[in-house]
Amino acid sequence: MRTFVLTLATILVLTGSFLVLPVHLPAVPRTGEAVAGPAPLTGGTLIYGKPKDAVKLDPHNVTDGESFDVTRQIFDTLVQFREGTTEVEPALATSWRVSRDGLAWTFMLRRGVRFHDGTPFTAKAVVTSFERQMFKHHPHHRGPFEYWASMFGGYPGIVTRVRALDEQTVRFELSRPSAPFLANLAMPFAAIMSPAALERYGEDIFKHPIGTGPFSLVEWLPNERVVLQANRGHWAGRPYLDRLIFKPILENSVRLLELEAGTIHGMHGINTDDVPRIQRNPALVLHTQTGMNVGYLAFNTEKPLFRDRRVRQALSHAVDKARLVKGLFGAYGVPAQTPLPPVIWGHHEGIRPYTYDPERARRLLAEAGHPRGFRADLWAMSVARPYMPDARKVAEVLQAQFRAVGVEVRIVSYEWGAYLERSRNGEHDMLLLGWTGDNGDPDNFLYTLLSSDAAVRGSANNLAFFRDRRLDDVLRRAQALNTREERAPLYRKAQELIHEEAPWIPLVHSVQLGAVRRGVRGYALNPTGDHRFHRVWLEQPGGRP
Amino acid sequence: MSRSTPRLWRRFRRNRGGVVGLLLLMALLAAAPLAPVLAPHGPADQDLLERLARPSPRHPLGTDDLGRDLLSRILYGARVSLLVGVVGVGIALSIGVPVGALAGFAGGRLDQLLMRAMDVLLSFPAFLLAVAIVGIAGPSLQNALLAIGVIGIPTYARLVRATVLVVKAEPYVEAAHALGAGTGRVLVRHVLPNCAGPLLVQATLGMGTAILEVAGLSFLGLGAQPPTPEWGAMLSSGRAWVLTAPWLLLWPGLAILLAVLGFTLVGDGLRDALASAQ
Repeated sequence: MRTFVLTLATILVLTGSFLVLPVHLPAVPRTGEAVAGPAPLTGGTLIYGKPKDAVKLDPHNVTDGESFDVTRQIFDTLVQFREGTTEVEPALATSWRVSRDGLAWTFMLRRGVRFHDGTPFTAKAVVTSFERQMFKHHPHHRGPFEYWASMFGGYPGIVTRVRALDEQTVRFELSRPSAPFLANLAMPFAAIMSPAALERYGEDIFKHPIGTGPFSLVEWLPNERVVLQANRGHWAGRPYLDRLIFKPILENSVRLLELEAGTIHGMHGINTDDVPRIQRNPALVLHTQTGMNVGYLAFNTEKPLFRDRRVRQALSHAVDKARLVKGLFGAYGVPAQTPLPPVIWGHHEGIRPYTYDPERARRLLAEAGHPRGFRADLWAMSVARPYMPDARKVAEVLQAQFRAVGVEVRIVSYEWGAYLERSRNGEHDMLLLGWTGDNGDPDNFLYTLLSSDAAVRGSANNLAFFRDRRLDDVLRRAQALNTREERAPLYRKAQELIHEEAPWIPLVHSVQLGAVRRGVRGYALNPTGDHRFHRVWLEQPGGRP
Repeated sequence: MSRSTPRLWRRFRRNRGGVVGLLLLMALLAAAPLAPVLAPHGPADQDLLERLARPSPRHPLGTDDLGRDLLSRILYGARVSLLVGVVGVGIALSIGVPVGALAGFAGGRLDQLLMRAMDVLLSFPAFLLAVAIVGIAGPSLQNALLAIGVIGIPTYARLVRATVLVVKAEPYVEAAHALGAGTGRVLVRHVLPNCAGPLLVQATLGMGTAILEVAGLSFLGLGAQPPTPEWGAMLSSGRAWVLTAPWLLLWPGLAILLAVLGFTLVGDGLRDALASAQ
């Protein structure tokens, strides 16, 4: 009780102080930063506020951005996306070639790279990092490894073998050609991990991440901070920062207060209503990036209630998406009509949206045998996500709109890790979630999120548990083709099928937001939702935030 | 009791705090049933294009982050709070009083057993216990009420037991026993009337506490669930707007403050009036 009274008092005091504080004037909006500028300085500690701590520091065993934000700094991948794009460039592999039939990919590895534990990076590390994920019988296959399954269609899925041809050469053998394969290897789950560390830590590897990345782990106090230090011997040059600290701060408003107070240098997870405040503040710089993402509501089609397509379509008609997005996302979101964001090739422009039509929704519900509606749970994340800064508010809007057609919804939230785990087990009726594309390929949305291969309980990424043979067939055929021209029509077909079956209500494609204090340079948002700190530097490395 | 009521009122009236409290309570009591008449909008009606509106003639207290009218939500919230006060204390009373009476009358092992159980309940920080109960039963207003009821039990049990122990030894009770009155009759005729005053005071104070505790649970997301217009929940969801739209916090905060103050002042007033009446 006392804590509550204290909170109340604090709130009242804060409210009061707002009334007397001067407002920063004049308002000069600033977005992004000029590319040219002074030479980067080395040194200093950067503290970065994020909505939630990592679930695990084992990139093979997580699917959420909060975890990848940390593992991205510690681990490298064979290939990587050029900053700000989804174009693939060399990383731990210096070059590669693909066989004519598209079934064998051979990578030449970088020489002289060492893991943070001092062991050399060799072909064996690549083999171990992948075999661990792909083979259920592998001694280090402990955990869900859901990313692997959703990318490659099971264990081992389409990758049948990873072979070290010699110390510096690795070959991946595929059972069928896969156009997005190379881009998939740039994603954070394809991280290369020290085999020695795996041997040493076993199941505890998630607390002891050992990679080759620009930063290495100093300490991880769960829910408190993750402290990283510069890997001075990184193959692409040392990072400018000496130290990088991730600090989880759950509340968007509290995180912003800390940024304003200068106790953190940068953050993401920003309420759209707070944007003008950041723009007005001369000490802060706002970053925006058209997100390669989608926020959605998934119906659990394994539940009898939502097995009926008419129910799903009815609720699709019950949502006033335009109003929802305009009200809650303002200028930083566009209503979604398909799972694929418009910035990705293959996006279907011609989908005729489900109109906002409560009358029709009620009629469809009646046809489906629910003339008086029904009750169901709607899950909402309690954590800010790049595609949905405040999911509980979205849920409350949907609750009101569903109620108008007779459907009573109870809003349910769990702690972030539990939320993901329970949803993978299919415990929900309906849930809100979203996805930030990792590789700029439509496959990474449609196959990853809606194919039956990704609908396996316990490791599901297809949280509608939607299984449609026609869709699976289209998506698999698209994987096997090589050019965009050949694949795009198939993805358009897939989007039509998805639209018709309505396993989701696609809600919004939102603009990513990030903010740093003036004096933090080189910070950039990536379409993939990655936050990278290798090239971030401080104008005053010795100063406090 | 009935003869002393006018005298009690006279004494109560002299306590200025008590009268202010009574006025606050009357406002609360009026707001609850009249909410549908007084409220300009439905408590859950959203207008997403009019979010975070400042107070205006259309929305006298402004709107929240989903464009819901705050005045309407505050008024409907009075119903929830009143319900919370009455039911929360009701649960505590209906279990606490029999337990206390039984323990006091029976004495011996049963007394020991019951009162140790009460001590166990008391040994937890009350709010923590409530959080634990809701944590197990799941977050909802009903479960929060149940939790608030449970943590109130020992207070009433001890109060009643103490009175019973005092009264039990009174000569007139022994006389009643000697005249053949059964335990039940003695309890109802002689013991409970003696508890009525302290219980009334405790229950009034308890309602204020119950409102505050349920607001606290709702603030933590463990009590009332959306879209229920509960003040603590409103406070919690308004937290994000502390700097941009402070009225989202101000009104529910004030409402909680005034309601709890009302119950506390009346409770204190009653206590003073009863003390000086004796």
